[in-house]
Amino acid sequence: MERSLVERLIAKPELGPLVLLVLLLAVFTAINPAFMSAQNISNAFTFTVELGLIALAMTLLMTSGEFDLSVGSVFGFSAVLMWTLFNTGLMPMGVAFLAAMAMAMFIGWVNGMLVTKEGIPSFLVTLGMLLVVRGTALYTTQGFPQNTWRAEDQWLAEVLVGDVTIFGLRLYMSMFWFALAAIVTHYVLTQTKVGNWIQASGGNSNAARARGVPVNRVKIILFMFSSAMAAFAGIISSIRTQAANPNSGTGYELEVIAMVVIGGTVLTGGRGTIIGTVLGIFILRFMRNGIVMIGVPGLAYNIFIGGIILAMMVLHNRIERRHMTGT
Amino acid sequence: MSAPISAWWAKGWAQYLVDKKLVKDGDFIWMPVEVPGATYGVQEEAGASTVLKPMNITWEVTDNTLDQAEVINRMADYLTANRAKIKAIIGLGDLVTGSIKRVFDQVGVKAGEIPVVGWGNSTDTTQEVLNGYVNAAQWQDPHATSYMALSLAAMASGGIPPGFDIITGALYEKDTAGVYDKILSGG
Repeated sequence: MERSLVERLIAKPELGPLVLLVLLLAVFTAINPAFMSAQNISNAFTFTVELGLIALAMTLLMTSGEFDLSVGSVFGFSAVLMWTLFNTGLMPMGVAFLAAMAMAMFIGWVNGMLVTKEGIPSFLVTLGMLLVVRGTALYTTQGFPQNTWRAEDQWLAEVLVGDVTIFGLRLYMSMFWFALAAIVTHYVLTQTKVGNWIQASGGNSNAARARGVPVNRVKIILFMFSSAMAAFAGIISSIRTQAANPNSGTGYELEVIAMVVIGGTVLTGGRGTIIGTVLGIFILRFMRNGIVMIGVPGLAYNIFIGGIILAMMVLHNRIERRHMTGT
Repeated sequence: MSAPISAWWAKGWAQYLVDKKLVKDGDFIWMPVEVPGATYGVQEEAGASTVLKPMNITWEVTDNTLDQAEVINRMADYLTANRAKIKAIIGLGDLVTGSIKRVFDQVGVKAGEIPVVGWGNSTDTTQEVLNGYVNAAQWQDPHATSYMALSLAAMASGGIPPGFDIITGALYEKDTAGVYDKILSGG
């Protein structure tokens, strides 16, 4: 039987996060109208899209049934590596950027090889890699941040984080990169054979193998993509904040996984949604911004963040269950 | 026993704001810190409170993490939300004070519009003082802090009781910030 438009809309996994986002925006705006001011939206977007780049790649990886805890350390390490190579005069900025990206992809390749060839769970492999990469960043810099002041005259810095102000809204180039990455990853996941392979690898990897899906190759490439996006985001962030700190990115892995799960991607793999992840990214970051805007005391911040995440997960779970039962 | 050095410095920061008439009775001061609960921040808040409490000046300490991007993001959010009521800022750590320019630029606050005082052991902050974003910042010589104390201990063990304090830091303003900028740049 043909389903109505409303029924089809309700059946979408993105409906839950969309309802949550609208609810969140409405409540925060009602309490403090300045929440929706151009100034605040501009602030909130700035950092959101940098984390969002990692979340998009993580969505694909989690859909394939794996996840990567080393993204936060790669975020910090890649920027440190690029700026060290550049500041010491070893390489021009463009080459240093490519070297840092290549190193990140190598880290992802090692993660992928250990998970697929050695059969070690990705949780353990990437937890170990998190420590190796973070430790390397700290040891090589002796804990000191790399200055990025010389980025101002570099064309690459302009391409990555140049900004433009439209109607009082300051938008960085990273917004463009995020939008482009979201469109491409959405297209890959929903419209291509590779997208089918990713979902099949996460759904039932043995059945997928039996049907000729190169499960191991898919996962290795996704680990490399995940690391590359973390490095890209870290480098963008380091240019914007004018600092490359070896501690940067600490805890980002959990925040990114939360964004992906809130968006509707299944933690155990097999089903993922980029649109949902984009909504999840905005839900988490606007929530963080919103509770400051409504005047929650500074040191009570984490109580509210944790409480709202729990409440959202319960709400999300209930909406999801209603989808499944078709009510 | 005298107050810990962090409390002593922070008392000086609060006193600086009062002496320069940058804050008055009943005002509100924002105190961003990287790690709330860490000894340095707690002692500094306690030190500043000895000056602020008698004047009914209120303050709020906010958690900003040790991650530069997150620091700027959280500080920009807080400043956007509370810009009207913040009469001064005391940066309880180097990372937060060294982020003031980037936060002000992001939120659209002009240099000098909100008085700022706090830690200044980084070239980020020396530059902020030179460019008018931070009114005064604290330099503490890490080597002198250690070996001067050892000298005192050596004197004490030799039977000469230390009857004086040794100050191994300075609250610098624009006119002397160049000196500390040079030291911190390795010059």
